[in-house]
Amino acid sequence: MSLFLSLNLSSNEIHSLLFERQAGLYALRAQNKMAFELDDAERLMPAFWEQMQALEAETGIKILDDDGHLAHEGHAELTGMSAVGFSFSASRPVRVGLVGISEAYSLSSLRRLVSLFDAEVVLETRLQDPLSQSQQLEALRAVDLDMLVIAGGSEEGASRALRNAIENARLFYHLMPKSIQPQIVYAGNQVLADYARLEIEAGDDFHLAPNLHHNTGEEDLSVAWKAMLRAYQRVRLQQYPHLRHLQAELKTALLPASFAMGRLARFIARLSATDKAVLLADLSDEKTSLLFANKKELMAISQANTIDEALIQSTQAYCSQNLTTAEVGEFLLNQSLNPHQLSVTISDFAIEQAWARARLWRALGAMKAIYPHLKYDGETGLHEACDPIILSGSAFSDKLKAHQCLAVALDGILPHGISTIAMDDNHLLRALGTLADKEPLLVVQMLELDSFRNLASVVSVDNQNYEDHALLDLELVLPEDDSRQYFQAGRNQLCKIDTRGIESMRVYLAPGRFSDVGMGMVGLGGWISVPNTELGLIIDARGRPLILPENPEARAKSWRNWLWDLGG
Amino acid sequence: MKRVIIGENQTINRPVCLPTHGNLKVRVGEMVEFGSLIAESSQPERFEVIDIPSHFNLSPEQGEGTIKRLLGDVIAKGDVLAQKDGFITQLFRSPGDGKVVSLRDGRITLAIGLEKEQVFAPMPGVVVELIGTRGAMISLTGTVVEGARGNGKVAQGELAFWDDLETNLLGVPGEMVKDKLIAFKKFATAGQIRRVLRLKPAGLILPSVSYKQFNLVSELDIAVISLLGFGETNMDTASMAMLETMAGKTVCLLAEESTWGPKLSPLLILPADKPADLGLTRQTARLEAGAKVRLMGKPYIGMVGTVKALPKQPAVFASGLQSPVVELLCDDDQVINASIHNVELIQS
Repeated sequence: MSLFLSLNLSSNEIHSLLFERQAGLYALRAQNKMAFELDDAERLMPAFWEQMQALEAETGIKILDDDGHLAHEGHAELTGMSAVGFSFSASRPVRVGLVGISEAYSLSSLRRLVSLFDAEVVLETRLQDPLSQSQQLEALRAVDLDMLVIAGGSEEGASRALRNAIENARLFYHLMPKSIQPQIVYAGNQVLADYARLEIEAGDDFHLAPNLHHNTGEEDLSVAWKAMLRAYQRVRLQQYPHLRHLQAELKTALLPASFAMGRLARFIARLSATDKAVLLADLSDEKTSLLFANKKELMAISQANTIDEALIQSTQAYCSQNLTTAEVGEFLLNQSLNPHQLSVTISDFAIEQAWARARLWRALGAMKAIYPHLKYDGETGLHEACDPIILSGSAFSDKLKAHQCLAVALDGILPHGISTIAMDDNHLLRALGTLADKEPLLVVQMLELDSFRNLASVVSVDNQNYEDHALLDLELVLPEDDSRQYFQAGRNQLCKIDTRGIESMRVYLAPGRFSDVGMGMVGLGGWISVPNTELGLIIDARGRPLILPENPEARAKSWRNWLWDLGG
Repeated sequence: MKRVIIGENQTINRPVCLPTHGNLKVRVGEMVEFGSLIAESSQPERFEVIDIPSHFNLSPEQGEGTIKRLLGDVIAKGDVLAQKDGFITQLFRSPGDGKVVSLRDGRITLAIGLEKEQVFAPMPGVVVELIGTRGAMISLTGTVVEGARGNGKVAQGELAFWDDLETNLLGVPGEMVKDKLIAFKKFATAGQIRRVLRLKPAGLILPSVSYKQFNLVSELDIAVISLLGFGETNMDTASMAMLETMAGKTVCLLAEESTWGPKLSPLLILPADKPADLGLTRQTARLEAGAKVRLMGKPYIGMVGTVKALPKQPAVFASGLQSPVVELLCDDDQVINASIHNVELIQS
């Protein structure tokens, strides 16, 4: 028997999952969630030990040795952990400054690079801008940075501006007062790499990465991940010094949870037989993270759940109750003070669901801003074909029923084409992501085990010809007796076809002449296989963008009706 | 379980820290007053990089030879930094008082001027711990009312209730409000807040802040605390009872944000006359029958009650959500079942 442990820390929770391998087969043996405050330095280790004891009690496997330490592989008497993963998902951002030569070739790449590492970009310096070196230095002084990432320049290119930036980084590192010792990541012109290391003289706080751009000009962010991970860990251990004790116990590196999930997103995208992308949406009490992966690249965004005017207004617009901006704003501001507060009234719960939609909408917009080639539009939704879309986080799993989760995902993302929407109730993706490099087989087997809760298969029908009313005809072939059922989806309808208990059903989609169901061409239909899901087959014929009444009462009613169509 | 401190004889430990390392101005065991200097740090007012070769139209190598200063030199405004000899000697003088912090390729980097950052005690008390070179932990025992949100400022002054002052038909004299902490028993309208602000109080204690007042309150340059968060709610009975014991006395309003370390809760604190005890006999409030709690969220926001029982069966609420509940006897003799997630244990 081999054991694998994955542990995640958020601001108010410690979550551990224990996996086991027996006779070559992996399984999730137990998991435990425990409330605690990350700021409470003295409580961390007792909480960890309590959690390990709870896992011991549940599994009957001894995890802690006689001295109370976590047993690792090679322990004289105990099985010990063959691998341990450690991730961090608290919302406190890593305050990052970006220095690049140009917007197109350096800064945009840097924004994409840091998006996986809980970064809040507080300073951007374009060396091509007519700023004097003094002005650049003043800009560095004006912000409190945890990390400075420098990139830009080609191996044969001009280097004067980059040399000045390196000198500024030295002055910034050595002379300016900071709350923590900042980390410097250099991913620029490699001819200057040694110069940068010697000039900045930051010792272990300097992290060297290859140039983000190959000689061909192609961008490859993954080359800098290792350096970014080292820098990330050193920042977090300074922000929360008590994590050192836990890390020494776990004997593993600390990863950002979004990075761990990103690994899995890439893995699932590569496994996929089609060219469709994978979208992971994690809505926790503290932040909203989206990870989008296709066979070529990984896109990520992680945003703290800050409340601003735009978010309040979009929440109001998504709300299934006719409420004023003040009512919505007060609820959201109170929720930010007490994230665990339960919505006991209908109106509060409606705001909470609308807020989840607005968070998805805002995060997708932010993702589009740093990945301009992402086919997304705030009104018409995500045009990239995604299958599956996997949802996780307390906003989904702790409060919402299956049809409510589905409604939030459909309205917030507005997917196009055919998708399967699933729930990761146990945060398995994050846990597997922390263990993926140590035990790849665990990931492969766990993904094959149907570890997620399949909510629904969704066919989104888009039709821009508003004179068309019947958008899609469906022919369902039931597997038991090959009998057939026929359905028709009309404009602005959200239809639910119950397929519960049917392992796999074949469905023929026959779209109207102007309807696009994601088969590659407008008007093109075909056979699809629909797996057994909790809610069944959903036909979203509401079109893109959604057509909503101007009148607030009527608009709220539309949301209510659509939610009702999905299950009440 | 969320806890809120509303009670007498409570010991508060408050970290007072600089965001960066600095110099401490206090020692462990020292008594400090409101506004005492705890720590300060000095940093250059600005940095200036002077490119000597481009000023003298020389190559970097030639430029380096003209520099008359060494790394670390302290310089005064007008001191010669570089000199180019010739038919007419050209001088480059320092633009300010400061220090040479870097010399590279003919470029001189100067740290000019000195800027101080200081942190002050937000309440009187005893220094119980030094936090590196950033600041200190100050301890104080007294009557405490914890709030839900502050605007980042601190103040000290005599506490007065606006509701009592407003009964004066001839208007509220300025001296009854100036430099005092003004508390509202009922939800304060924007008009009332503006009227109080004209009389220049030191701080405001509001039961709650409406969405429309949010920006107004956040931008005020006096300390403001909201006891119950956001909405249009009157003050809860538990806070009211404590505040009434503070009326007419000098209290501290700590609505500041933490610059470093854990998040701080906003507090209103009346220092006790007697010295701080060690709190060894004090019991931490637990959720059990007889415990005093305050409710959060609609529809019972701000209601105070006593736990009658902890039913084993969860309840389903109007929203359809299910949660474990506490059975409460409220101050108005109502008995209600509230979600366990929507109660704050009152630590008194």
